[in-house]
Amino acid sequence: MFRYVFMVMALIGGYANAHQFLPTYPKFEHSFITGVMQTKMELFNKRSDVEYYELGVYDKDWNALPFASESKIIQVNYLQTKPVNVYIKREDLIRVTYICTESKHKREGSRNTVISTQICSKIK
Amino acid sequence: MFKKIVLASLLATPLLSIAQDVPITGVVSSKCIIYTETPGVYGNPSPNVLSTLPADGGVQPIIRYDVLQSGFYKAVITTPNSFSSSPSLSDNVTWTGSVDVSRVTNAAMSAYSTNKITYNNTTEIVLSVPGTVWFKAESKAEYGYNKAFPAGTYRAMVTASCIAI
Repeated sequence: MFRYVFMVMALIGGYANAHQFLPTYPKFEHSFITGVMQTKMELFNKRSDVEYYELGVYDKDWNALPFASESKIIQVNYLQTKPVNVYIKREDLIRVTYICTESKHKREGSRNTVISTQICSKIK
Repeated sequence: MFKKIVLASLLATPLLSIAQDVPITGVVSSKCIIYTETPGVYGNPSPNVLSTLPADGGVQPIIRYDVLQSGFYKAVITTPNSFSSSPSLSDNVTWTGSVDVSRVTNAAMSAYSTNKITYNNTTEIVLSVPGTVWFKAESKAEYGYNKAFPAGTYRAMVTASCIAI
């Protein structure tokens, strides 16, 4: 019985595409630059149809906040995990609430609807 | 005498080893994974309608959420209110959409259907039960007043978010 359940799960899993962004509650620490705080996130791409993710930092009302990273559009290959460093100004530390990644899709001829995925971590 | 000491120490070694602690550490962290299981297809049941409903010849987009712990995330699903790519349209498009639970792995998740909050074209559900849940989205676009959609390819975006709370 267990083998059948496992087989069905494996087959279902084969069609699924996933997006994961960790940790859920990141913490900012002092970076090597004075007045700049840093946190390290991890993005995992299991979406074979997506190669790029956009990074965003927001306050509690979802207003975009200025931040720095290696790239705001992150290129992540299928099944690749990529560390993402996020830098903000120390004075923005009390405002920053969410760090998000959102999948970016190519405009191409298809009749399908497209599902864009977004995962947001929260600064507590 | 020396041989006896060596023998005694060899015999005592396993006893001393048993007394040592072997630490096992594990970290359980909350995480949310979004799976896009079915992207969805618009059916064209009449010239002025595009719909993902199976009755209209469409395929509903299905999104799966995996959460390891309860109460850490909410699912926010937004159905389209514009085409991301389409032929040139000269008239208004009226959009309707909805999101509902498709499948659950825990019976308690059926409460998501009643506890969801809907505003505009967005549905929010607090993922209060650990496990896997599938949501299906429905999207319908009607063009003008019984006006036929121009021929071409239409593409719209469903946004599935998992937001830490």
